[in-house]
Amino acid sequence: MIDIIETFLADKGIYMMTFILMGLGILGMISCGNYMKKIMCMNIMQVSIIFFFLALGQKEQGTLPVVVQNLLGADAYINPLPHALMLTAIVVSLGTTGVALTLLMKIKEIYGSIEEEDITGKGWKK
Amino acid sequence: MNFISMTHLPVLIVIIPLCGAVLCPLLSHFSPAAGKKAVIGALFVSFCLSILQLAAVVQSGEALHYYLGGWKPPYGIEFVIDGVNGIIIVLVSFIGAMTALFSSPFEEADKTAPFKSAGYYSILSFLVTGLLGLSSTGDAFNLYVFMEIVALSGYGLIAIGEEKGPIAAFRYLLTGTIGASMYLLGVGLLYSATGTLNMADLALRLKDVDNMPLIVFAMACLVVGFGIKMALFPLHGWQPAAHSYAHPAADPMIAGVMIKIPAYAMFRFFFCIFDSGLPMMKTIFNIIGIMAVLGILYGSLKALRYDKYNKILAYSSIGQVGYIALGFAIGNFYGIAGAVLHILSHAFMKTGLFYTSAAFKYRYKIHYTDQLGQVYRKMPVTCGALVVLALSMIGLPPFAGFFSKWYLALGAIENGQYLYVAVLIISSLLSAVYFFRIFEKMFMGEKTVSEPSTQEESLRQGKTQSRTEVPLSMLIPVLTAALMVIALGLGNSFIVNGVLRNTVMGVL
Repeated sequence: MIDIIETFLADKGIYMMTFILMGLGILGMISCGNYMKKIMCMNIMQVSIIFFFLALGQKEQGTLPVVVQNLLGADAYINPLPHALMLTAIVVSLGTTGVALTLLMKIKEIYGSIEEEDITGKGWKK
Repeated sequence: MNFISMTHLPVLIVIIPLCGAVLCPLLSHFSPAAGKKAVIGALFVSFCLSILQLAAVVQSGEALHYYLGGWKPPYGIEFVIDGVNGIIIVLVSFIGAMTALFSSPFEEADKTAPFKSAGYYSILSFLVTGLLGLSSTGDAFNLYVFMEIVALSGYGLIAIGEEKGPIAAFRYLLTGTIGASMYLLGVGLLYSATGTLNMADLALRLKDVDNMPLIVFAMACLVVGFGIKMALFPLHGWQPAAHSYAHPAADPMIAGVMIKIPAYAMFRFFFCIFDSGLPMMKTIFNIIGIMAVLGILYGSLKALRYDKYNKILAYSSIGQVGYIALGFAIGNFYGIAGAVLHILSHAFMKTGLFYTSAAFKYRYKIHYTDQLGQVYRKMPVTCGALVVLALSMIGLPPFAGFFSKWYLALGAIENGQYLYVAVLIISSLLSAVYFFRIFEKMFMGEKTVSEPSTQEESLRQGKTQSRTEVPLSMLIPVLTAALMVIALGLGNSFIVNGVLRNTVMGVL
C-alpha cells in the first residue's frame, strides 16, 4: 500500500499539487470578498503554473546546465528552458501584482473600502 | 526605401511604437507636446511600414520570416508574417495611429497635468506595441508575453477612465490573469509533449504525439484562455464594465481591437498548429460553435435592455465576437475568410461607434441614448458617420458588415449547418432593433441637447450656435472609420481572394 502511494506521489504528486494549488487559487479569487485576498489568491494560482513548468525541467541526477570542468552529455544536465521561461513569467506576475495593488489603492481612495460588499452596495450594479 | 532594409520590416513595425512609448515621458519633461507628437509620429511610421510589409507579402505570395537576433527557428524567436496577420497588423497600426490622433483634444482639455497625459500616450503606445507583437509572433511563449503587455496597458487605460474605471479594471485584471495562466498552462502541456515552443515546429511535432488526453486538455486550456481574452460568451463577465468605463479616448482601441487579436491567435492555434484531421477536432469546434451561438443571442438580447450608449455597444461586441468564433467553428474556407473579414470590419465598426460615443461625451457629456435627441442638428458629420457604422453593424449590403456575414453564411451552408445561418439572421434583426432605437431617439426624439458643455466654449461659439461639431483631429478618425467600412465592403473580394486565400487554403 505504501509502495503504491509512494510511486503515485513520485509519478504524479507534483502535478497533483500544481492542480490543487491552481484550484485553490481560482476558488479563492471567486469566493473571497476582500480584494487584497483576491490578489493573494491570484498569486497562488500564478505560482502553481510556475511549479508546473519547473517540474518539466527536472530530471533525476541532473546537474546545473553550466560547464564547470568538462562538457558532459545532454543527459547529465537539467533542461534550462523552463527556468528561463518562468523567469519571464515571474516578472510578468510581479507586474500584474503591482498594477493590481495600485488599482486597489485607487479603489480605496474612491470607495473608502476594499470589501466587495461595501463597493457593490454603492451602486456598482446600476 | 532601400536604406531601411526590407528584411528588418517585421521587427521595426513592433519596435518603433515601443520606442515611442519609452521616449514619450522623457520628452514630455522638456516640452509637454513633444511626447505626444513622438507617439503619434511613431504610430504613423509603423502604419506606413506595415502597408509596405503587406504589399511585400501579397506580391511574393508566401510568408515572411524574421529571426530575432539571427537565431534560427526551433531555438530562437521568429516573427512570421503571412496574408492573414499582415492585414491584421495594418489594421492595428492604423487604428492605433487614429486613436492617438483622436485623443489629443481630451488631453488639451486637461492642461494642468502635462505629465499625466504623457503617461496616457505612453500606455496607449505600449498597447499598440503589444497588439502588433501579438499578431506578428511565431512563438507560443512570446505570444504570452505580448498578451500580458496588452493586458497590463489595457488595465491602465481602463483604470484612468470614468469613476467606476478602477474597479472595472481590477475585475478585468483578475479575470484576465486567469485567462493568461490558462493559456500558459496549455502551452506548458504542449511543450511537455513536443519540447518546442515555435509554432511551425509545434505543428510538425504534434503529428507524432498520440497522447490524446494531453492534447484535449491543452486545447481546453487554450479555449478558456483565449475565450476570456476575447470575451467569448460564458467567459465575457469582465467585458461590459471594462468597455463602458474605460477612458473615452482609448475606448475605441480597447473595444475595437483589443478583443479581436486573441481571436486571431485562436485561429493560429486551432488551424495552423493542431492537425485538423484529429478526430476530436470536430467536437472542439462544435463546442466553440455552441459558445458562439449562445454568445450571439445573449449579446444581442442584452443590448436591447440598456439605454446607456456604451453598454449597448459593449454587449453588441459580445455578439460580434461570437460571429468570429462562429467562423472558426464552421472551419471551411468561407468560414475562416468570413471570420478574418469580420475581425477587420468589426474592428472599424466598433472603433468608429466608440469614436462617436467619445465625441458625444466630449462635446455634450452624453452618456445615455435618451440624451441624444436632435443631436444631429449640432453634430451632423459625427451623426452621419454613426448612421453608416450602425447600418454596417446591422449588415446592410454596401457596407463591410454585410459581406463578412455573407461569407459566414456561405460557409455554414456549405457545411450544412443551417442553425448557424438562422442565428446569423436572428441576430442581425435584433441588432437592427437596438440600432434603430438609437436612430429614433437621435432623429425623432425631443430636443434634449443643451448648450455646449463648458462656459468657455459657449462664449467662444456664442454666435454660431447652430453647429458645434467636434475638433478636426477627432473628426478625421470618425470619418476614416466610416469610409473604411465602405471601402472594406467594396473591396471585400480583393481581401478575401487576393490577400487571405493563399494563407487560409494553406492551413486547411
